[in-house]
Amino acid sequence: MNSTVALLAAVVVIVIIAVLVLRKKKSSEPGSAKSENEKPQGDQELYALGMNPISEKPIMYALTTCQHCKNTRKFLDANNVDYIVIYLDEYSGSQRSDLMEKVRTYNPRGTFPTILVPGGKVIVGFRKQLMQEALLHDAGTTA
Amino acid sequence: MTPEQLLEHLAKCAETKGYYLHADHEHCLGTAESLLANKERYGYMCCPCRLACADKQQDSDIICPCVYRDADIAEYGACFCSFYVSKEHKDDPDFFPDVEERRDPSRGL
Repeated sequence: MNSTVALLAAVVVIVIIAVLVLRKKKSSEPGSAKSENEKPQGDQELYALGMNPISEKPIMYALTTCQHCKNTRKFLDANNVDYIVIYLDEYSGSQRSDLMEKVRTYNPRGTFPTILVPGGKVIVGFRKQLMQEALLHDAGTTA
Repeated sequence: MTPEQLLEHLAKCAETKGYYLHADHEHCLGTAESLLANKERYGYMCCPCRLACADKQQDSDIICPCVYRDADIAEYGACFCSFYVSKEHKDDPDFFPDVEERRDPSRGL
């Protein structure tokens, strides 16, 4: 009798551990079905600015993973240009698609970086010469 | 897998197609780090220069190497990210052409 109870208890413990392990594994899988509210969202002030991009500073729509965006930032930093960067890949769900739709209103191909220069110019890609012309002689530069 | 290991693997795969990784090693290393970051984030190595929609089916054309690589290298000598280059440009660390996006904007987000 005692051995049966012990066996049952052992089975229950093993099942509980297995369930906990499986739940933990599932929640850590990329693309697991998290609700939109559970997914991390980027800075909400930057999101609002990205959706209504009115600023005295250049606004750069970028991706954290994009080398062209990194090179652009290096160039702007080296030239002491004061700018705002909004990383679209830090947002998810409708906020990500809303921002992408906004980028396409300025750059229909939706590529990165897309830089809005005060005054209305739009620079697409890592374009040193265009940045020099538009940013190093216009508003937004502290150089 | 480390970024260096990934670079080594991708360089071998590319050479079988007659392509090479860009001569700027820092650029390639950054791209490899981003590919691994996307693998962690989405579960697949999505192009780091494009915004994924996090749906593997919809993003299938931009999983590295993307389906546009061959056409981009044929026309510009480099892929959209300037990660893969043609034999002609394999030793030029300053070769960063402006590659036009071929992807249909209606695809993905």
